[in-house]
Amino acid sequence: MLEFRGVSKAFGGRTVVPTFDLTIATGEVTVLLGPSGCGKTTILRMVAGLETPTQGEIVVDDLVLTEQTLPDVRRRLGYVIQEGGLLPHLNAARNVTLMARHEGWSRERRESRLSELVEMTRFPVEALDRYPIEISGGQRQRLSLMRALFLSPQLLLLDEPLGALDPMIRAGLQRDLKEVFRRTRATVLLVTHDLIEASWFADQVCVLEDGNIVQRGAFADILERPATNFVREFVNSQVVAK
Amino acid sequence: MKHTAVLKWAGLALTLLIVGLVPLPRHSAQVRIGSKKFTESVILGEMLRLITTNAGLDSVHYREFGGTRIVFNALESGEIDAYPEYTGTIQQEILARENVSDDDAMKHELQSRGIGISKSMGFSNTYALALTKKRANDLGITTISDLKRLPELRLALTHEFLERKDGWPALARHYDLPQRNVVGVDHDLAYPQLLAGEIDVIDVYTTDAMIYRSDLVVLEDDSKFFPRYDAVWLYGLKAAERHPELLAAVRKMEGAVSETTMRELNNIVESHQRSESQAAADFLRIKLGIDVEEQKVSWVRMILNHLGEHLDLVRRSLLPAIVIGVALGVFCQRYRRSGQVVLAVTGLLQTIPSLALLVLLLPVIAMLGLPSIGEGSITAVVALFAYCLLPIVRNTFTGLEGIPRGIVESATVLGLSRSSKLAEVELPIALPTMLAGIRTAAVQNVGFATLGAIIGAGGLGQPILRGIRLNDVPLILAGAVPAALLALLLQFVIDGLEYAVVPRGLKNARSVRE
Repeated sequence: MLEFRGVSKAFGGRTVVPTFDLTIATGEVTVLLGPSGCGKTTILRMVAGLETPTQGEIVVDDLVLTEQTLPDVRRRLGYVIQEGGLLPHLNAARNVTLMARHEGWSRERRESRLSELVEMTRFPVEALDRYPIEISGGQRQRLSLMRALFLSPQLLLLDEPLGALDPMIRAGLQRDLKEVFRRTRATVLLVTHDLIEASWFADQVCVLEDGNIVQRGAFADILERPATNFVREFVNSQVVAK
Repeated sequence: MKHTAVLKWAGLALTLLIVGLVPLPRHSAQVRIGSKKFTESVILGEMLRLITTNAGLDSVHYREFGGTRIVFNALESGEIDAYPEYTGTIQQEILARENVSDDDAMKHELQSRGIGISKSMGFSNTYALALTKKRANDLGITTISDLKRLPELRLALTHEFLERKDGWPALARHYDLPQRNVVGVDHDLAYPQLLAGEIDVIDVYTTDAMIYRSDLVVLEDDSKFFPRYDAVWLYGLKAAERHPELLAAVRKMEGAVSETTMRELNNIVESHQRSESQAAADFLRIKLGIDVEEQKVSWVRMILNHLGEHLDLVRRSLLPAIVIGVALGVFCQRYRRSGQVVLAVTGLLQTIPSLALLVLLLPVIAMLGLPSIGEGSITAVVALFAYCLLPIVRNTFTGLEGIPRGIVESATVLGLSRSSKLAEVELPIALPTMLAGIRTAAVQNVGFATLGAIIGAGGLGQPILRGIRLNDVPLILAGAVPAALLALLLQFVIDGLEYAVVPRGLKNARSVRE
């Protein structure tokens, strides 16, 4: 479970997120949808502890996110960003197993978990000893996903995970990602500006405008019954474009 | 498992520090003799070394490691036990403030500082002004007073002479000399300029061999400005007590060297017929009947010795600078505001002229009771260390700054602690940039280390200094070429290291887009 209680964020004097309240049930996939600059990434970064809320609190399961609980919370979450954030000086396998090595996992345990994930994310085994610059963009995202999943997190945070990929690769990865969500039963918070991604993944969609949730519900509702002019325009711009 | 990477870096830092800081077993001689940076002083130093060695003492000679003040301070602080000096210099320069009026007062004042003074070695080496014979004839001058009517003459005087109490300013006042075109120049470089006609007048020592070889005219000190410059030994009273053989050797040289002999000795060394050691040995054999073993050191041996000293200077300054520089670079990146100060200070250190830095550091190091001059000199090491810092600090800072934010943040969210993140993510990614800084520092260091010779720390600067003093090009090259090769070699080694330790994923850094 992930809960936002009156969370706000201001940078200097500029408010990016005014007041944010949202509860995401365990195992549910929630998509924060909106144009760039709507505050969706800031919300995700606050959960990951990369930004501190100006006010309010974030609760992950039984833990209120504070400086003290942050290490525990981070142990429970996986984080995937556009372009992967992979470590350029480590090969694929070592990128993925980094934290397991830190946690003192045995080699056997690491290898069995690795082969599980290779199968789940459909990452090519022969690319495991390659470095991030030596593999394709799609493979990098699969790798980043494997790394996020390695310690079996209860909460997955994804920021435009498919944003940098071309359409063909994107379609394949989109399918595989959904399967991963299903199999891991993790609570998922995914940030995107893309309607199709939202429609594909979301149990619930929150449309954001200037840090406020202007509509929340199933994807079909958003499409068919936009709550405000902003939602209508946002939806139409992409439907027409496609 | 958790801290493996942190421990690896810490271990590497510790190893570098240990290898860098452990001093080589220092040759702790019983008697240490010093000399100033001109031929006569070096020859006299060699004589005393040979006599004391012959008397069974283990003695070393720190050759030509500075001007009057540096060498005298070294004697006073007990870092050397004896060096040749001139009474005029003692009176006018060293004890100028004490205003000693006669020899007894001088002796007394020196004694109160724990220093003994010998009787004259038998010759006086006075300052004088000289011109080429042709120029002197053309101008028709024979005395210093004659200079008064020639205000347009160009003078090139040694830096020491320009500054001394008994030097140019006082001389010009005494004679009321009008010349304004006066430049400071190194003694050994003044002769060629004089002979080439680029300057008219230089200052010389009266025992200077060049006066006779180049047919110079020494202007008569007609209104008796210059004091007597009798050559004497200054020695530490404690050292003389400890080693009576040292005192005996000093006594043996009293009255033993005539002005003609000294001039001849200077001449055979400066005309490259004999080395300073050989000239000193010749003298001892012929004049004092002391048969000492002639030391003929081959060129290869000489270069290798200096190369060894040079490497030692580089080792003891560069390795600690790598550790401290990287640590400071990390600090600068973590604490921006204080970091700017650190960067500014390390930058400032580089702008201090190396010679000034060495001379400024000397008294500080001596005050701390560390060896400030000679073999194993801390002064040279500290100065080199200071020069090394900037490229290492700056490149570490830049390397860390250049890591894309997404990478650092991903590592943070993965749950790596600050130290693990530094050890496993940031330093490895910044490594190529850091190595580039270390390479720059190393190459610079090898060049700067030649300056160590100025304070007797040895190294490849020693043959360069001697070569300049004796106008001996092969000798200069014997220092300069190995130094250049060493710099190249070091660069090559660091390139190899980079090839070996930087992972493939960072080799083509430009294609990393994350």
